[in-house]
Amino acid sequence: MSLSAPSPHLDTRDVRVLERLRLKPRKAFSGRVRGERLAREKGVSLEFKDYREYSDGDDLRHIDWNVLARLGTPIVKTYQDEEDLPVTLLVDASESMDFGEPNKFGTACQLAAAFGVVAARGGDSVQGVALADTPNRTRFLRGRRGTISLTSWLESLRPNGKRALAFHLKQAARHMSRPGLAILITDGMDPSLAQAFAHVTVAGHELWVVQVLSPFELDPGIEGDLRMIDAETNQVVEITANGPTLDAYRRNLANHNSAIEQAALKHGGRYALIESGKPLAEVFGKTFQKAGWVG
Amino acid sequence: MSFQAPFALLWFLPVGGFILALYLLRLRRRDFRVPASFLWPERQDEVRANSLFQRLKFNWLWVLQLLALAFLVLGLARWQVRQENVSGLTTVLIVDASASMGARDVAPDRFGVAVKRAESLVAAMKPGDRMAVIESGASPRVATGLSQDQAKLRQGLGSLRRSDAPSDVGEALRLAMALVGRDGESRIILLSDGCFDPVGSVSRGKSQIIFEPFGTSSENLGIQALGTAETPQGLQAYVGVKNYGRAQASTSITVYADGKAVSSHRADIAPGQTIGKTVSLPPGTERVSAKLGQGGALACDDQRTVPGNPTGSVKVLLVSKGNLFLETGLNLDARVVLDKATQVPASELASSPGQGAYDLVVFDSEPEIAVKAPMTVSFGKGGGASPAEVGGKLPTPQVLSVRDDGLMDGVSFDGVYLASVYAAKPRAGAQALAEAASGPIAVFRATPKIQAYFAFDLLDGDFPLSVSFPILLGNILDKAAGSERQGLTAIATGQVVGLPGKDGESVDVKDPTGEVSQTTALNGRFTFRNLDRVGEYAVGSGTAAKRYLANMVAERESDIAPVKEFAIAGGEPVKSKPAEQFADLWKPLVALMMGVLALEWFVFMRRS
Repeated sequence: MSLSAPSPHLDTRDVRVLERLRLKPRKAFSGRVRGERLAREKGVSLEFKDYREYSDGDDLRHIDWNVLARLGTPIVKTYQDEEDLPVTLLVDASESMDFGEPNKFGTACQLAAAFGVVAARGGDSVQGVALADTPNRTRFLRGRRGTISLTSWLESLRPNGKRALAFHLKQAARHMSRPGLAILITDGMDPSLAQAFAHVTVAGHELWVVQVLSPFELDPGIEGDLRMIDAETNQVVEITANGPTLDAYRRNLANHNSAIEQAALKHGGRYALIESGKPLAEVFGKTFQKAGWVG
Repeated sequence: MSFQAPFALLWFLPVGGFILALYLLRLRRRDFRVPASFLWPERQDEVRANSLFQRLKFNWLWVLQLLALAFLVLGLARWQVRQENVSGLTTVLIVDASASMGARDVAPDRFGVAVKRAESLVAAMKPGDRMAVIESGASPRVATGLSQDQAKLRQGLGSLRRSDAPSDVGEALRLAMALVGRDGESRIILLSDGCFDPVGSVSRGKSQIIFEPFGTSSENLGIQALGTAETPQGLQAYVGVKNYGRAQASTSITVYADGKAVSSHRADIAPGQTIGKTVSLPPGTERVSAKLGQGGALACDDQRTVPGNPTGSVKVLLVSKGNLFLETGLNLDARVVLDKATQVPASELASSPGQGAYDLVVFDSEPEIAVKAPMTVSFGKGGGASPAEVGGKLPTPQVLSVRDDGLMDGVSFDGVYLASVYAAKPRAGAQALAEAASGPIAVFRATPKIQAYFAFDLLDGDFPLSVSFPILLGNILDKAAGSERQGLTAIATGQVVGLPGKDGESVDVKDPTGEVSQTTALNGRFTFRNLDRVGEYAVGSGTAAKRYLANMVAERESDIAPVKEFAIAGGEPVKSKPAEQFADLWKPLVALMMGVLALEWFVFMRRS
């Protein structure tokens, strides 16, 4: 990781912003521990859901006395059960992430830590999974202590994946037993990545894709005759970096990103492109909150 | 197209090879690590090279660089091309305004095309060019002197007027030489159809003579002869029509007597052949005209008018060992049918039986002997039949007086150099017409026959070069033709005609178009130089008017076949070629090279 890589440690100001936010998945999930999430099943909880006629065995405390007085019929309030949300942070730790100024991997770790804070503060359980050649994951973590553990784990990560990102994603999906929210933080530098999303969503996960690209990747300021060496595959492409070449690159990148976004949306997920080094407060406060990811 | 320094072209090989060699060098690319290579297109527009070697790949850059080099090398080789305009030079344009230039084988006619060409040359003048315009008509005329002013030159071109007379191109060339003088590089551009008499010697100096010919056709019919004669059948006219072209031609020949048609024939004439027709005329016919129906490209030789008086045509025998002035002067007169001999044929001697064939016998520095002809003129040696007794030669005389009578009308010896004269004494019945301190120099006797004697050899002085010479010949022929009393004379177009007059006195001259101009007498005579259009000229007014019937009689003008080169005596023939010059193209080549380099830079920047 380059020296200028952002640290997964969040500063106090960012934490204050993040603590006010809650993850807002599109669908509801049932958790193991009562938390602040609405469970898929109706039940006794704090969140009102509907009315139904009273039947034997119902808790008398849930009869709506005002309705009974007006209609003469006992009506029972039903409530959405509230449970924790399993959040899996899939952090791309392939070699391609160790690139850019500010470093993409550092930004990815910071984003993962931030999602961890938001999830933990919301009472959700968080698990970190590194998509790399060496399997590395945390258990589901909760609360403030969980965020500290997550941060430490993120800090220990080093980009080392030489294999394709799609492969790692498939492998990770096999071990994601609890359906929940899967947040993939990656640069997306794998042409077959979009096809791998199905492996995650087929198990009932909602997939959020956060693509992190460096300013250079978005607008490469290079010129001359170059041998472009792939960081993961060591494949070489000889180019003359001039206007037409850069235009073609930008077109290819836009098409590739669009394919990832379309695949994410197709599987009921979300997609966001984040430039590495963008302040967290701006990313969460504007991009994610505006798109309804958090609220 | 040519090169002044052709060996500079060889530079293309090493320098071009060097440029290509640079493109044979293989590119050493800089390694650049990227997150993923699949997004990068395989595009290699190599603009730099720094390592050996690779196969030559097509690249617009080396094409443009070789193109720029080609322009540079062409510029260094001083590539030149012929260019129409004339730059930085002194140029004299001679526009042939002779009769043949009226041929309408090109539109509007050869003269019109020549003038247009002259206008285009004037329009192509560049700063520093000087140009002059000479009209080569009956006599050469400077229409515009050397000038850089295009408007003035155009004005001069506008004043050009074609004549129906032959032109003396040699004289026009000499005039042009006099104009350019000692100018270093100059050129004389002759715009003509080449239908003119051989040019005498012309000193070209450093001048280049460029001949641009005009005309496309040689087909023309012309009236070669028209004369009248009193025959046992009465007054008759003879018309001769010649086909000057290269193809069989057909035409109608109509003869008019005082404006009324008296005969019309259709004739087929083979190329180069002449056919003759004899037509009876009413007695007392004053004017006889002949006209052709389809006369070919040239119109001015399709009609001719002569006096009806049979003596209107004059058969002349010139007895001489050779005198160009006399031959030319006599031939210029339309009435004259000239024969030449070194001695009088026996049949023409007075002692021989029968009638003589000639109206006039001219003895040029030959002793005059008795002949049958009703009139004789002799120059130099007197002879037994001469009207004067002639003695030895006397030194340069001073001419004291000239009598104004029919023969000497308009003739003056003022300013004329006579190297010597013969001592002469009029015989019985003869009288002196001109007197010098040493005695008579011109003697005339009217009976028993008309005789004139001039006491000098024509080639022994500059009298033939003076204007009085053609006037004297005209007077002699008038006398021989007997038409002077009618006031009707046939002349050749362009012929100079003189009449006696008091200094300062003016007469009207009405040309064939009816336009009237005035001529003022000078040195005791009127001189008419511009009778150069076919038709009738009237000098004076009323019954006293003298009328001249001008006809185009020069066969060289009727033969309108354009020629591509003409000879100059004592020099190389002048071949036809357009008035062009070599233009050095190094400036536009350098401009092109800069343009190509700019394009190459643009391509390079686009790819960089």
